[in-house]
Amino acid sequence: MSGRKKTLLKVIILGDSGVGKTSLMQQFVNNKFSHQYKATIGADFLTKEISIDGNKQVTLQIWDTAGQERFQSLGVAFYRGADCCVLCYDVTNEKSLNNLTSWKDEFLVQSNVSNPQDFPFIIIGNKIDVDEAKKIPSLQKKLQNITNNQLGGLNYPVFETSAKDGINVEAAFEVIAKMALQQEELNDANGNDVSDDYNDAINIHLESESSGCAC
Amino acid sequence: MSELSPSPSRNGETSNHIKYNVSFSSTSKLAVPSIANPTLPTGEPTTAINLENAGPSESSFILEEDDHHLQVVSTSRHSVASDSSYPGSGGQDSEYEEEDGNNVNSSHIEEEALQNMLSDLIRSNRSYVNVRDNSLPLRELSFLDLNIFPNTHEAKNELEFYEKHIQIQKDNDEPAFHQKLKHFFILSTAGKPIFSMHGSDDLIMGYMGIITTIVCTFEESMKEDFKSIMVGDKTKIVVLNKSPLLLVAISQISYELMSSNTDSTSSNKEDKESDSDDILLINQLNTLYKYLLAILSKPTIEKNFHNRMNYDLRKVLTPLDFQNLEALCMKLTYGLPLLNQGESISDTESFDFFIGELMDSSIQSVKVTNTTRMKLNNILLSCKRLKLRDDDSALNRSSETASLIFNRTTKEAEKYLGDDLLFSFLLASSNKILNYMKPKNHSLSNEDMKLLFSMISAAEYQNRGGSFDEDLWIPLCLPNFNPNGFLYVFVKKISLSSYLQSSTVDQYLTIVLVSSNKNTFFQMRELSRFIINKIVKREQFLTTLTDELTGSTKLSILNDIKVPAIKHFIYKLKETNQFIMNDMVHFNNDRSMNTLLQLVYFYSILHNSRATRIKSKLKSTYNQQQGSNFVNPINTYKIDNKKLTYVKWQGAGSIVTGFMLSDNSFEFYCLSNEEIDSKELISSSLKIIRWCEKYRKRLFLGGGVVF
Ligand SMILES: Nc1nc2c(ncn2[C@@H]2O[C@H](COP(=O)(O)OP(=O)(O)OP(=O)(O)O)[C@@H](O)[C@H]2O)c(=O)[nH]1
Ligand SMILES: [Mg+2]
Repeated sequence: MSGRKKTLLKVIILGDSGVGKTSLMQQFVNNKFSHQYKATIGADFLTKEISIDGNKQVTLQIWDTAGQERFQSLGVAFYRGADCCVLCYDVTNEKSLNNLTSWKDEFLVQSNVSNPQDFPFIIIGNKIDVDEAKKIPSLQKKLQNITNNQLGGLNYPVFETSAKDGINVEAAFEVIAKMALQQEELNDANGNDVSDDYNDAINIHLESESSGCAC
Repeated sequence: MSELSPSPSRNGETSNHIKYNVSFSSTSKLAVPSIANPTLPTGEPTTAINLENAGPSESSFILEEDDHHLQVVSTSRHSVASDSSYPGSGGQDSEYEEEDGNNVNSSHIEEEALQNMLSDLIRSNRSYVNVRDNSLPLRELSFLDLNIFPNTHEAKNELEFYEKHIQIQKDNDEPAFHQKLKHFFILSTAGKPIFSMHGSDDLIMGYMGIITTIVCTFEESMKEDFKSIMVGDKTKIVVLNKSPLLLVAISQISYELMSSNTDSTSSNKEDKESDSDDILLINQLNTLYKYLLAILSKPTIEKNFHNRMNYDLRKVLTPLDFQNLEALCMKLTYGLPLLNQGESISDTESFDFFIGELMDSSIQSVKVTNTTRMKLNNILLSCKRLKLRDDDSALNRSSETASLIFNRTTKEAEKYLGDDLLFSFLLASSNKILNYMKPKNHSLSNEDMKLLFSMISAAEYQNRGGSFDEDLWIPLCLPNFNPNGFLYVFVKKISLSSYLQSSTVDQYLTIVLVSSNKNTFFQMRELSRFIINKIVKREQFLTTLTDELTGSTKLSILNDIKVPAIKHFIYKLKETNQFIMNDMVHFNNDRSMNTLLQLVYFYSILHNSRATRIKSKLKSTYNQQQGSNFVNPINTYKIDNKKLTYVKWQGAGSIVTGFMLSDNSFEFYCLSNEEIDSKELISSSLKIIRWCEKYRKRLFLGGGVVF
């Protein structure tokens, strides 16, 4: 019954301003990088087609948001109907790491997804190309604290990337797509997909007054 | 009384496109309007209509009594309950030619009044009536001359323009995408694209995000629905929010951007008043939405999105659905069919569809004699009386399997073959309605019928070139009837001529049987065989039917009504919202895209021109004369609500006159593409109107037969 083989996935990228969300997306979609910082205002949209496991075609519809609070005015519109969410931090900026939890909470509140426990998130730590000295001291430990925290821990796959050098970017988005696809297939398997059932016949009473029609 | 204020020059530009809207109203059906004091306006800024720069902008001025431009109406008779001399008031239709003496008399008075009125209007603007340079040779008019669209001058010829700006194009070419004059998008409220008229997924994805964001931002921050926006003065964006779906139209087409005639909008226009300028595009979006409802039903759409806004509706749509949506986009906007490269227009289904939509979901009917229609009605009615096991009567015994299945599945419960038959139709050329049968407590809205016929056309298009043996069985949700479930439609197209020895023309008849039961395919097929058998059994009837249908689909004003000056007309009966029109071939002697787009443009302008009603003064005049106890004043001005619109386009050696006349019972539109004076225009129009009145029962099938 399927009209198109390609699956469309809506991917939301969240994180503090300047962590490199736009750069990651540009690197992934256009293989471009710029040192210049231009704050995202509102949102940006890009698409890229990738194939998973060599056979499944997936179109990623990537929604890049503004990290700066004053440019965030999108709310529900933005988060609604996302297939997966990417939480980004900057490996040189500890505050951006600590803020991951609140980005996730914000997302869950706004998007109103049905099964928050199962919703696919991944974490990206960006800018690993920079000098070791600039990175957050004892990053791994701090990161573990956040991901393994018993109370509302962000127990999600973590990728360390460089949008500048294109390190790990593609790998990260591939995992994103896989996770979202899995979720999707799970949904379909659960019989949520009411596609070709034309059995909702109308009860028509030709003789009585009760009406099957709203006219 | 803003309605009565003069000349709402809504577009605020100087005009080179003139339009008169004259409205007058008389106090009763038989009242004969005459102009008591036709003091006509003098200082109105008017220019000749010039095809070179005739754009969407227009200034219209409206003549009406409040301005003392026109005084309405001194009537000679006042009784409401008298005869029905006014065309459109439901005269007799007999198989014989007859003229009522009274009718003739009052018709003459009416004709004269209308003629005077129109010629006064025209005389008041001599500059424009006599502007045509007679030395210019009449050359064939092109839709490019009309500036229907922006940038017409850039294209060398019609075909190039079509390919550049109209034709559906789905590739990644962004500049080409932006040159298209019309866009439709369907997306989920999460911003996932479902359908777009032009452009590839990659190309439109970003726009989908922007649209969702804008719409939702309005919703959240202002607690208001985003409805429409003008971008500059040449582009309009209209959004229809049917959460979880969003439908968007973007148009740069002049006839879609003009403010439409609020008068003709749907019944709940009160609360839609502010949208009246968008109503045309909103209606188009509704048609696309109803297509999705028709194939999926509302609960299916809702269930799929329930608890997961990320649902991708494209998963349940087939390539055929996308093609049908594309076809709808083209029909709704341009009246054009989907054409392959180099293909020319082979039938008028798409144009018929367009006109039906323009006329507020009007259904096109077919002219046949009463006798023929009655016979066909009786055949349909007898379907309901066929006993299931009554094998030997009319039933064709050829289908052993069918009877077997009946025996197995239906047992004693069903006594009649057509127990589940809900609605049935006979259609000529798959979109013109010949007969309609319905149960007494249910009926189908015109919108549902149009949707149904459109589906059938699409299915037949898919099957074109195929044999006639195919029986179609389509599950369909008819949203106005019931958006929550499906009906099951059996469709069988037959070639009448194939049953005739001597026939030369191809004439098709489509049998449509709508069942409420999914498992009644074989019963419906049996019924269709019964109907076919009844129709083809007697050669004489078959010949008559074939001839009548052939004549009807090629209706000619010149041959059938003997009016030479009018080249094309539409007559719509308001009561049942059905219309007829003559073959478009008579307008330019072809059925080309060029002709079709001209007709689409002229009729859109004529239909959407603002015509004002007159109420207040009339009422008081009437009451003074009659005494308020005598006749209910509310009824009084509801009765005969006459309006006329006159538009003239000229230039490049061509001239086209458009004329609209309507009252409470009918709307009449016509076009002439030769020099025609007001007198002839009125008398020709009235002649056609009277012809339609006289043959009303032949032209229209009314409300259908009831079982
Ligand atoms: N060295 C290095 N710099 C990076 C990398 N990624 C991004 N940057 C720089 O970091 C700055 C901010 O990047 P953006 O991608 O604009 O950040 P953002 O997250 O989109 O910021 P907002 O739009 O304000 O939310 C820019 O100057 C980038 O050049 C990286 O991988 N390595
Ligand atoms: Mg950014």
